[in-house]
Amino acid sequence: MKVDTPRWGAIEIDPATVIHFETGLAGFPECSDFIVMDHDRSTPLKWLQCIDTPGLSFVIIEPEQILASYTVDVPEPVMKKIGWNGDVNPSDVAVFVILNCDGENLTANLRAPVVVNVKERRAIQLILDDPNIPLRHPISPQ
Amino acid sequence: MLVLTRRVGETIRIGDDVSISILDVQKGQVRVAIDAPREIPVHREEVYQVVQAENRQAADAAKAGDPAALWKKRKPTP
Repeated sequence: MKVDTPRWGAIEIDPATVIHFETGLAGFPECSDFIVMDHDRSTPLKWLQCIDTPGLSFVIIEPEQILASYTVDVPEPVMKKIGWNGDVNPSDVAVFVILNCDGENLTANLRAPVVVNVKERRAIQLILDDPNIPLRHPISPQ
Repeated sequence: MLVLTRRVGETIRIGDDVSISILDVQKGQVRVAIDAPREIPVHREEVYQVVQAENRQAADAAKAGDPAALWKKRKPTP
């Protein structure tokens, strides 16, 4: 299937790579299907590109690229919601954080990571309760 | 919008499986207990709002910006 995106033009998408968000992302409840694309080989940045709304995309990154100590405790009900029951193999889990630009500074939203069940291609944006986890963790301090 | 008055110890039920009980009222603060199925996320409104706003801004920034250029300019983390 082809999706016409503003940034990348028309891109061919393998339906088997589509990730389904059970409840959308906060602020975009109507957008549920996305793919993850690499930005290029020179950076670890990736794009979370919406399929239902091709004008919507996010820049994302694996959190270990910016903060080695970052861990996410995914509550059991959330895990069940994206198709996990019982033990989870770490290789079946992908976690991304969404990047934002504040002027010249890149920041990462550590408070609301995206958790993906890679095997079943189901995902959710988790909202963590701990108010000390930053919404805008600076990546490029000037 | 439905507006109800409840006393401490009383409950509001929403649909078949959500109930909200008033535990305590003190100095302008209300403690509530929410009982909802696991698949219904429950958040403090202000937390949900800031994440929503951050997502919207991130989507706007992704439209216009050149994140790779900013990434390459970052200082290496110590």
